[in-house]
Amino acid sequence: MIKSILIANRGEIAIRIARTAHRMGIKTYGIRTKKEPNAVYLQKVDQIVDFPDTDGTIAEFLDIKNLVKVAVDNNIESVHPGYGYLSENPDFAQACRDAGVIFVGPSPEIIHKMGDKIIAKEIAQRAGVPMTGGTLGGIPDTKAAIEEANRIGYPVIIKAATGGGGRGMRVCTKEDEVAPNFELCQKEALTAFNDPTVFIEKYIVNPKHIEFQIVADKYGNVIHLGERECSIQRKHQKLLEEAPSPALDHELREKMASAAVRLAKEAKYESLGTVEFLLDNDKNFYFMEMNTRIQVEHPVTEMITGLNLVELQLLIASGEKLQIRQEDVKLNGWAIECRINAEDVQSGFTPSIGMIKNMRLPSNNRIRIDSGVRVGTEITPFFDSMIAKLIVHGEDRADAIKIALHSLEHFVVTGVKTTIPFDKAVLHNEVYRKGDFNTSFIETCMDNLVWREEHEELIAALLAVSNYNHDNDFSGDTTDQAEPNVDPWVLQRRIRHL
Amino acid sequence: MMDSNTQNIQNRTLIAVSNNQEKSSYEFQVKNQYEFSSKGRKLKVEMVEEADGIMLISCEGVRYPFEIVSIKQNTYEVMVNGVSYTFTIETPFSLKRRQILAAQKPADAGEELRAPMPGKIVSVLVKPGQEVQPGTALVVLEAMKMQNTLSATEAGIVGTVAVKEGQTVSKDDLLVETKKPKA
Repeated sequence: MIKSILIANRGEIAIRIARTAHRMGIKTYGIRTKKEPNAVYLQKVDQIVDFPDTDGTIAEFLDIKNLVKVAVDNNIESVHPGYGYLSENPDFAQACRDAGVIFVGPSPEIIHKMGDKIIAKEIAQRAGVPMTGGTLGGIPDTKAAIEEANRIGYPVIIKAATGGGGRGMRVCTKEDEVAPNFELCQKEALTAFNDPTVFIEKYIVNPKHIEFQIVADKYGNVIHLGERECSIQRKHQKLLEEAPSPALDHELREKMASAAVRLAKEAKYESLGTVEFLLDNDKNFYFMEMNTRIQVEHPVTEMITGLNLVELQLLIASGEKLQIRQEDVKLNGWAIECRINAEDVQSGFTPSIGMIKNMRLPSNNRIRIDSGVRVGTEITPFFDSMIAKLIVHGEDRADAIKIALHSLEHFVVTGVKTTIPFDKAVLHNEVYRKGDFNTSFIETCMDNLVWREEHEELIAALLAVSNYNHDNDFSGDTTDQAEPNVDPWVLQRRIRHL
Repeated sequence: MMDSNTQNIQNRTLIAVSNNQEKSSYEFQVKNQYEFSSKGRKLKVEMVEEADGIMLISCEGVRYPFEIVSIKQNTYEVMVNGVSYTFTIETPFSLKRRQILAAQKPADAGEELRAPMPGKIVSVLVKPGQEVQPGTALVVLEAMKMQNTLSATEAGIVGTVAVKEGQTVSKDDLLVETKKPKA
């Protein structure tokens, strides 16, 4: 078993990892950076290590050399990358291996294979996993791009082979859009991912985004922990997830799960992984990509399976054999995760920066809150905007929606604006409640992006008036406050002459 | 005749004009700090600060958490249940004055786009002299790892473009100025 671990991440995921590692008797190390020396996650680790002084050109949690150095200098046995940052960077996994530090995740070879969408598609094809029709290799030039697009049939999507997060993707609906988009995409891929390789595939219009959680040990045992429904997205950013998905029945779930497991076996996968699928209107599913890290939305799977994914990840990294078989995995009830981001939904989800003045968390025994902030935490432009995740567990979907709404009503954050009113608007939405929604949900099904309680605007007006009245106390004097000593007849004349 | 001359001497009238698109407005008769009426309905308002610092407003049997976000002269931004509302509070007199002023607003008054948060300008999408419509993207600002497209809210012609691509800006820095097209 691993004895010590360096958490190469911050925020709620650092706390999440520390909690499980601590419980397993693993000594936890956290990294203190100059950007947030008093962050909450530092309170949850056994030992704090100051990040070495650098010229600051590379962000701390992206600095492979110095992160490995911290692990080696402090004699730390393993490194957990969390999500984001270096979690899917094969060079980091390789640097850890070279330094004799255990990387909690798959091998650098597997991360590389899955990170390259063209190689990943080849593996999926060998495993017999359905894919959106398209090339298996990169497209060499504009002429080949047009030929390929015509062969597949429109609409098509041009993607960067090593892209991600919604960048380096362009949709073409007809032939004359292919050439300009192909060149733009190549350019974007080169600047953003340092690799100009792009490929073309069929574009599925308004699909559902459904992903399967895979667990694989180093001995070829692979199981799945069911799916997560992640179709509530804005600009490819997930905002609210649930498990299981209301779109799947037992038969389809088995089909997709077995495809995911076949893919993992074909890739000789190890550690936790997520196989992402697109599901079209006719319930056809297509492989999209495989993520090799722990996902932000992993708690919904934990809620319905009762398993601790970080614990499994640490056990696998320690070389333990998987103790659970597929038939031991039981999906129980329904879980929903609401992301609470410091964003101003009413101004187009712009980041809301500032200090958290007050925070009140709901509490009951069917919810879990993963958060990396507290009262006094400064929300800065340096880091992502997620401040908490509310995860609820209900007996069924309706029950989970009810608990989530009730909890959000008791979740109060002041000082910054949050996405809580957005989460409520989703959970109240009729289309969402029916369970038949896809990735276009936010644009096509939400007339109001924030939920307003009854009489809320009236009460807000009253609040403003009441405060104005308090700030400008006239004690019954009815003359205008801005012009306190002017004869009303004079005022009337002034108005006329404005 | 001004309203203030005809109303009850104890009550004053205040009007909250919303800055939302509909410019909805609410008129209140103010009796004292706690008692108001609107459209003949009496409204008793109580505000309490709870032990954890959360402020609650209670009115008509509901209790909602609130926050006063900002006060700029007579414009109040408040949050109720995490939803932001901005109201300008007017007396019957100041409202009338405002309406007259609005009608006389010079035709070439435009808008100033300022940085809503510190960040880096990723791209400038307009040039001086260019015509823009409400919703036309003006600049892309990167903050918190997100690219935010800042758009025009009114039709106009771009005047000054105060920033360059790659430039770092602070909150409230001027980015783009637009002018109203001459009628």
